[in-house]
Amino acid sequence: MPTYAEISRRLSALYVQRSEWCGLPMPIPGLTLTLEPKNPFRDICEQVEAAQAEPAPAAESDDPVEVVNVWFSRTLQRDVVIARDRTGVRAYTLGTSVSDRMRAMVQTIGAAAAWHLDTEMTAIDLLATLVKPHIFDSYLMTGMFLETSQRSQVTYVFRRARPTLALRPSLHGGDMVGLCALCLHPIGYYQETFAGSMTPTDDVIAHLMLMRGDEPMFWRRANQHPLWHPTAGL
Amino acid sequence: MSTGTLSVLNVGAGDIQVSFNQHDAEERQRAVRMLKDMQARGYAILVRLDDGTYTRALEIDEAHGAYVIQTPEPAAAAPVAEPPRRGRRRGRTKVPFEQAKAIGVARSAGG
Repeated sequence: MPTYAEISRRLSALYVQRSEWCGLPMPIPGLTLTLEPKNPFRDICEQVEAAQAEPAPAAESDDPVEVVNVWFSRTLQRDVVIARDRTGVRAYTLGTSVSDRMRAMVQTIGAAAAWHLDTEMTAIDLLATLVKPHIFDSYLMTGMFLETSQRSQVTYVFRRARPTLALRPSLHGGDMVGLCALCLHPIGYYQETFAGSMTPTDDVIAHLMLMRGDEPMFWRRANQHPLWHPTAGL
Repeated sequence: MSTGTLSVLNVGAGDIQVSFNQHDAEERQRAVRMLKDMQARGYAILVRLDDGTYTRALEIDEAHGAYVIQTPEPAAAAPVAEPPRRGRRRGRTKVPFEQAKAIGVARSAGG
C-alpha cells in the first residue's frame, strides 16, 4: 500500500511532464489543506477532502448561538469568544496557550505524512548550494540558520517547519529586537499546523530566495505574526 | 558552452531543474515555455547575479532569451551614475538565460 508521500511524489513527477510545475499537493485526513488561489488542483483537493471528512455531529440544542466576536488575547494567551444566545451575551475562553502550541506541533507531525524523504533530501542538497558550509552545518545541526539582509539590515532566523523570525539591532544598543514571525507557504499549507505542501527545507529555500531577491515582496506575501502569538512558533 | 539553469520548487518531485543549453534547441524551448507559464501563474523567478546576489525577474523576454531585471543599485563607493541612454528603459537590465542560475517560487497560499 503506497503512502501519501509516495503517491504525491509519483503523481507530481507525472504532472511535471504535463507542465504542472508545482506538483500535486496531498490532502491528509483530519487536516484542512489550503491552496493558493491559482493552483490548478484546488477543486480536486476539495473533493478529496470532502470525501475524507467525517460527518458533522448532530447539534445538542436547538437554541441558536451567535458568535459576536473572537480574538486572541495577548494577556490571557487564549482565544476569547463573545457569544449571544436567548439568555444574553456571554464571554468564553477557549483552550490554553500550551494546548494551542502543542496541537500545532503535533499536527505538523501528522502533516509530515505528505512529505517524501527523498524530496526533502533533494531540497537539502539545493540549500547546500545556496549558503556557506558553516551555515549549512548550522541548519543540519539545529534546523535553523541566520542571514542578515544587506539591504535592510534585518536579521532573519530561517527555521525548518516554523515561521521565519525577523530581528533587528536594538536602537539603544545591546540585544536584538524581534520584529515578527513571517509565515509563507508557496503552493499550499495545512491549517493549524506549521506544515506547507512542500517539504520543510523547500519552504526554507522559498523564504531565503524571496528575502534575497525581493525583500519587500517577501514581507508583502508573508503573514506577519506577532512573536507572542502561538502562530509564531515560539 | 554556457548553460543557465532554472530550479523550480515542487511539492512531490523536489526541485525540478531545467537547463538553457544554447546547443539543445528542444530543451531550451521547453525551459522557455516553462518560464512563460510560471510568469503567467505569478511565480517569482529569482535570478543569481555575477556578484552572488539575487534579484527578481520582472519580465521574461522570450524574443531575446533573457530575464529582465531591475538594474542593480551601485555600491556606495561607486562613481556618479552615467546619464541614461536613449531608447532604453531606465533602470532595467537583461540577463541572458544561458548566463544565469535562477530559482522559481510559486505564489503563496498564506500561512
